[in-house]
Amino acid sequence: MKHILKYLPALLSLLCIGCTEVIELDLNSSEPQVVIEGSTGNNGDSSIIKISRSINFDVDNIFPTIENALVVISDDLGNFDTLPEVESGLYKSGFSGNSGRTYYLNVLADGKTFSSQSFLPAQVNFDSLKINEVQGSGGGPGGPGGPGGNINHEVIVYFQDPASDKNYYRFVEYRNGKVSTRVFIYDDRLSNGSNIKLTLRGSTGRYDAGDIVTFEMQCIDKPVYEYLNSFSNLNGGPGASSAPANPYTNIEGSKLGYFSAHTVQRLTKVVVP
Amino acid sequence: MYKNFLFLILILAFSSLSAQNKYSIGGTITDQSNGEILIGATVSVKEMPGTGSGTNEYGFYSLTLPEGNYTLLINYIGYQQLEQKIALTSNQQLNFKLGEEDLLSETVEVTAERKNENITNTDIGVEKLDAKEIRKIPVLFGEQDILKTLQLLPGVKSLGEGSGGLYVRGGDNSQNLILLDEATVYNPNHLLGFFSTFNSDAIKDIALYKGTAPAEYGGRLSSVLDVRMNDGNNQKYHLGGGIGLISSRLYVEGPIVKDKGSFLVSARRTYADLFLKLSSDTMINNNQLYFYDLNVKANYRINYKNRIFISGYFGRDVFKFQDRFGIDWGNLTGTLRWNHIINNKLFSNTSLIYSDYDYKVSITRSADEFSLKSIIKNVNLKQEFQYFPAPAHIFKFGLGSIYHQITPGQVEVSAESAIQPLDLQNRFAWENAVYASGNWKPNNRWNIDYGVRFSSFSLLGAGDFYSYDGEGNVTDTCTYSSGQFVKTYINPEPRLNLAFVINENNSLKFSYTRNAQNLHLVSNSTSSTPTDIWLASSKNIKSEIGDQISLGYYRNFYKDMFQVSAEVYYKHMQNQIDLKNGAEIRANELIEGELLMGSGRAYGLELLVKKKIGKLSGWLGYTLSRTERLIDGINSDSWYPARQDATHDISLVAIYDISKRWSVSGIFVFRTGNAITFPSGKYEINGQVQYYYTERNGYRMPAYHRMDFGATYNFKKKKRWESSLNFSIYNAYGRKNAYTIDFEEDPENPDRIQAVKTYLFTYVPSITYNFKF
Repeated sequence: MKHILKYLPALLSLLCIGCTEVIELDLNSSEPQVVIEGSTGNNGDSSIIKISRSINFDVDNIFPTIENALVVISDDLGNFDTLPEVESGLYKSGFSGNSGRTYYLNVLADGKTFSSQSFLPAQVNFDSLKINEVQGSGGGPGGPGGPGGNINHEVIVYFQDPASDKNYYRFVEYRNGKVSTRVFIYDDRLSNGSNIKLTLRGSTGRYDAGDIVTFEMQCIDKPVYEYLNSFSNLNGGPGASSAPANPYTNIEGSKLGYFSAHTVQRLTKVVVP
Repeated sequence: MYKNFLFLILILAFSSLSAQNKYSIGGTITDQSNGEILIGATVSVKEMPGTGSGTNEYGFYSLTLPEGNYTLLINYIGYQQLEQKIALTSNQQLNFKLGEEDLLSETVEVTAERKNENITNTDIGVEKLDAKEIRKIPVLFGEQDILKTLQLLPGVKSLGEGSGGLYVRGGDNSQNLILLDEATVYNPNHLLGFFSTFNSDAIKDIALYKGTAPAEYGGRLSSVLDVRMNDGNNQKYHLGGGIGLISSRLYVEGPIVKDKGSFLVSARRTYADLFLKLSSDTMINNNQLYFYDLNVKANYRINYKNRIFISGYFGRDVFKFQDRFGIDWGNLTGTLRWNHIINNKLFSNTSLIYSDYDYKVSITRSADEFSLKSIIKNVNLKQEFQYFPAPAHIFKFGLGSIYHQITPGQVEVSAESAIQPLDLQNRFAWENAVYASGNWKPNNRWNIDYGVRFSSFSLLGAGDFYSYDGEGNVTDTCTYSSGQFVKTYINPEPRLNLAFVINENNSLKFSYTRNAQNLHLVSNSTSSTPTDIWLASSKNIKSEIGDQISLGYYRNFYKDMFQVSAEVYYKHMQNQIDLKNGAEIRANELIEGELLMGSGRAYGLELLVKKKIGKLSGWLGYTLSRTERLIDGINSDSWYPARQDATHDISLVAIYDISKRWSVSGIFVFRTGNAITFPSGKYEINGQVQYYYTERNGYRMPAYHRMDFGATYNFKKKKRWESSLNFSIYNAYGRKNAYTIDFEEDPENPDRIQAVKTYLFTYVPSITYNFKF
């Protein structure tokens, strides 16, 4: 639904009137904030926590990591693990989750404590992953796709949504083993219990022949879905929110970041020429 | 307390009834050339300065005087004065027809009585415009527009091009009651606010109440914009219209029966999208973007005492982006009205009104093929009496009943879509109001308007109604059957206007008003989009309540050539609504759980110098104001500037009639940039740079300013054929006013983020040919 608003710029450019120009803005500086990004997967996946700091807007994108933090993950059965720092600001262990359990994250960093919890939902798997060649739609201004006339790839995933629960999904794209920064999320609010064919539109653009493309499907809980969804609802642009704000984090003690316990399932395709 | 207040009103109303040998004169005042009624024309008594009456919105006046011989002076701005001697020995019915004055002749006599009305009436925070005034002001694409013209007045703002709507004295754009022939217009914008729904060919008269609106209006917090359509010429048939670069207009009017009845049909369509077809790029020529609208009105005077009117509006916007996405929306209104003159002192108006707004969004090419439709509509029955017991006293009372129906969202899907059909529950509400108000002039010094409106708003079943906890989770669900009362809000809404006339050139005025609003618009985007959502007051959403006090000083200079006013206001608003961060408002049954509540305040100073007489006319306005919100959970629970907050606002409008052929005009506006939220830091999540926000609306957009020029050439009149050419240039010095500011990765250095401004219009010339025969 929200991509409706993304067409507004298209409307404006149809009027042939939208022009852009880079301007200088003098933005305030801000107190550095601790940013925690954490995940615990099931099926033998590991737990990874990244801890960094926010920076002022006008400096380069080099985000300081926070070292020597105490990071503990536990579950509602009393199992717990302390995560060692495997590289600067990155804490990782083999602690893996199970569906139906709640996971707790406790962090002591910069002399402050942070805590969070996340519910690991029941597993839903996707049956297949398709990569199709499509005529580049040109996308027009603001629309999806690349420049007109190109052959692009679209990615479609198929799965059966269970009717019993409210389900929230996230898909993560890996191209040749490298994780993409795009966030694909979906909820069954309008399609509960359906057989779902989901076009991960944003993944269009073109892969190279021989690329190994993997999609990871995650079942996530509602707070994590809302957190990720906030980013797409809250950013700037004519169709976007009138009042951008930080997404509601599920981490107590922090303003930024999130912790997600989720299921993990991956399917891989090799792109044919 | 309110009981006492009502009692006082009744006493005031009937206190002046002790008459000895008094007789009344009543009738209508119309334009002699076309039979259009004149609203606000005055009938005064030469022998008794300060005694007089004005015509109401249906052209009716009433005057009660002791037996005797009098000279009546009938006046209306822009028309020649009429003098009529009468011997009053019995009740009389006198209808007057006025002829337009020649604006260019210097012989127009400037009499204090007719031009200093702004000093002596109780109007405070009221802006009145007539269609002729608006025609001379330059506008975007040459399309005359009353909303754009109103935005040039102090206390009235827009958020800039491409975000339509009026922001009046710190109110939101959803807090204006916008009426077209008494019918609510839910969305007054076409093309995202570049045009308004009001086609100036069909418009007679506009009044905007920024402060205290009369008690017959209710249901919105901030202002009342009352737009009246032309009745149509009851003397001659006319065909007229205009041809412009991106739109054309056509109207036809004429008598049904000469002097008795007339009709008007007026239509308009834009064709900007036809130019898109010229493109060879299929991505461009495959789009649609246009709007059209139609105004229809007919009236018939059965006899002197009875007159009926029927009027309607239909407008639609259509936008289709290739074959993948479409949205269309529009308003539909209809008004059936019966004016009945019971006697020279008592006038009755009965109206049956229908309003409807709907939109439909369709996604047509994707796996999730679906459409979403939403409707808000109401049926309104109103009865009003106007009673004229004495020249110094007018009394109005009436009641109204409105039935609202909101269809928040119906999702329809194609057979293979994974999305399931969804039909959010319809919401029903019944709104009732009784009111009484009066105007009383105890002597030449004082002029008093008083009134009270009692409104009730009841949310009705059938349906499931939810209660929420602080987190927005449903704690309780109650099911009601059809017609069952779910929740009722009753609000007394008193109002008072006082004018103290110091002398014929100076006056002081005061006003207080309380308004309640029970339909609330939620929007989560920068632009005012056609898909914003209306919600009714409920268990979770309380009536919005606004209290406003204002104080004004009015002074005329040089024989009323210059009208100067200074007004200050303070407004407090309760139960204001905002959305949680990232709230989902579309197709969401539990939308009330996504709301945050708070309050608002606004205060300011408005200065206006106006020149209405002579070859050079226009005005200079300045507003100094502040508008703030306090919403639970936003900005650490402290006051922050609302989006429409703009400290300084200057507008200059000048129209110069060079000769009978040429007139030129120019405007200049300057406004402090809107308050906006920009990031104050950044961080990394999921490998992506995200922005860190520290406060709501803590920054300002760059200041908005621009200058426009217009010129009109009137061709020589040939028999019945009249025509003119209008040239205009919008944004004459090409100011690149920011529409939005976005933050993007610097293409030259991916480690930096740069601010990118989008601006819409620089130098928009246009030409329009207008004709009438």
